[in-house]
Amino acid sequence: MSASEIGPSRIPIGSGHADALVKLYRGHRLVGLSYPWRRLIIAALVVLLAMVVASGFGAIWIPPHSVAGILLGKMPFISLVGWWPDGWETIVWQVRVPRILLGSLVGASLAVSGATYQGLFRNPLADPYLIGVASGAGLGATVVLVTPLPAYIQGFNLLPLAAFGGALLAVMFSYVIASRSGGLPLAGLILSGIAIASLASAMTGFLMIRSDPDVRPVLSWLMGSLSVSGWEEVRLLLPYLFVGVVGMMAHGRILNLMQLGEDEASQVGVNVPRTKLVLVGLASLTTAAAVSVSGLIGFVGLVAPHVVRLVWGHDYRFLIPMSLLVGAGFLVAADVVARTAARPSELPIGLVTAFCGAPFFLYVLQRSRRSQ
Amino acid sequence: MMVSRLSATDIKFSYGSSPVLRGISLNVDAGEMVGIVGSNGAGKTTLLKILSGGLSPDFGAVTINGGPLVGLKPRERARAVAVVPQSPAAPEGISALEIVLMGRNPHLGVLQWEGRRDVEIALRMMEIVDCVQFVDRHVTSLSGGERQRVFIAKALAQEAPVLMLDEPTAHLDIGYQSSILDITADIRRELGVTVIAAMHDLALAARYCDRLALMAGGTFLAVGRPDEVLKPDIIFTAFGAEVSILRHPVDGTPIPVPLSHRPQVAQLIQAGEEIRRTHANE
Repeated sequence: MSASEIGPSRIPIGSGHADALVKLYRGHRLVGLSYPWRRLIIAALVVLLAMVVASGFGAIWIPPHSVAGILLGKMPFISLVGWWPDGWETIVWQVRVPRILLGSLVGASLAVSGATYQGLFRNPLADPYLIGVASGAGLGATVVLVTPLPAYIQGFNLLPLAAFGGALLAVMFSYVIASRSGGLPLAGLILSGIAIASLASAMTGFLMIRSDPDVRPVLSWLMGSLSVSGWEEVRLLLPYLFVGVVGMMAHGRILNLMQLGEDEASQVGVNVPRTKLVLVGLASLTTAAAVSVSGLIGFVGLVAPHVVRLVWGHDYRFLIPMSLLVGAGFLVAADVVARTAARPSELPIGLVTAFCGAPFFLYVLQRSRRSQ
Repeated sequence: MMVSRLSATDIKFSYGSSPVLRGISLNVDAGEMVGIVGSNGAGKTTLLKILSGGLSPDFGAVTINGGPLVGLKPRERARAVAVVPQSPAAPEGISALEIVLMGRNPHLGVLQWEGRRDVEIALRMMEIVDCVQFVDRHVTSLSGGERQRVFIAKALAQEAPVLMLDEPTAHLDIGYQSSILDITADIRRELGVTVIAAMHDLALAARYCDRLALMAGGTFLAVGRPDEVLKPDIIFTAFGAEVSILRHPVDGTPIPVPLSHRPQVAQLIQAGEEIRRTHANE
């Protein structure tokens, strides 16, 4: 029996009456029918502008118009006569731009993954850092770095894949433990996530101390830092971010359905086990790629999606791309603070994000407690 | 031979080692409304889950229009049976129209978004169940009865020939109870949908259902017209309550009312008192 045989639609549609109804409720904005592209484009321009301004900060202040000029000069088919000092181009293009670009990509990855975990687990507190995924990824990356395992196979960097393995293990442990223990649906995932994260961090620490003293400084980025970033890291992250983000954005409508609960979603025809597998895979891959270039940076995946929810609503078809932009902007701004707040030394960026994110966590916790 | 719209044959199911259903068979004809009644924990919700394909039975089979339910993909299943859960979760920040549009999912591809036609169908269904006035209200801001109507509209938007309601009147006051069941009658009349409802209130079930199936001990104790099922002896076996049957003033459907045990207890206490008094006098 095919489903189409089951029952013909008996509803008289197109009678003009329904037409009138649709017109009447046109004012009610449906993301599915009139997608708010304009907001996304404006937000993208704002983030771009923030990135140009951020490139000016550092040991020497470089004004935004010079940064823009240097960047434009790097575009194909454009030749500009530089009005800036000779050294600036190297500073901007070799040092600052890759770092800021990487920061924005890492922020975007963590924000989109956070939004997806939140939607999938129906837990507003799910953040790649808080549910242990990021620590698992860090452990996976460390294993490759400190053990005799090869880090490259024929020029292909294995670091993100090892991190992916660690991330998947961590999220599966957190999820299974949380759903077994029942009881506290909201706190359960976070509690088991913290336990898994502590375990993974302890193992990472052990591996570091046992490792070759020459490798140890290399591992310091794991604590969450953009200070070693260059164009190589940008190129490493970009393909994973692209696959992950496109995949998660494509599932926007399904993530909306998941908000009904797993049984309900299945009743309206969602293949729940497959959806969970695919989305956990995509979010963990994206998180793992971000961790393997920047280490553990917490709370971005929590702050960005919630800011979007507060301002623009809960539809995941818009929430995911907008979280990407807000996450990128947030991490670029946090990096500027990290570089300038305690000059000449630099703050770990994870410290800055935690400074904003932890109070935010408490706010979201209190809000969701009240609504339950 | 006419094929039943939905048919269940010898369904058995247990949670772990405790059996819940011990051989349930039921045939439901197209357009019929069947009420599943029984005491708390008799397994009504479990049976509905099995009939809708949300749970697989340990033994036995469910067919819809002669085709097996097990083995259908989730999308196909959702086009065959729609379910209104007992107390549906209300996701935050989502409007009533968006909830109803979620019911269009089985007719959309994974990557496809709802279109104009889907909105038309959703609005039409909201009109039928009288909740079109809530279109842009967040479901979290609606009362229990209003929210229930929105979720019925969502189930109708699936355009499935079979609709299952799990305790549609639970936690509702008497006004909402009758309005929800009147709406169910409207749905049957306008859309020709077959309805299976797990119900708590025997009088309401008798009033609105064509047939009742009374569950006790994991099987059907009686299946038939409300008159045939709601008899004092059958109700005593199923619920352990002594009842008397009144008649509905409008259409004469049976209304079971419990007979209180209190007077008998009071008599016993009084008798005991007298015995004690006579002993004291001796």
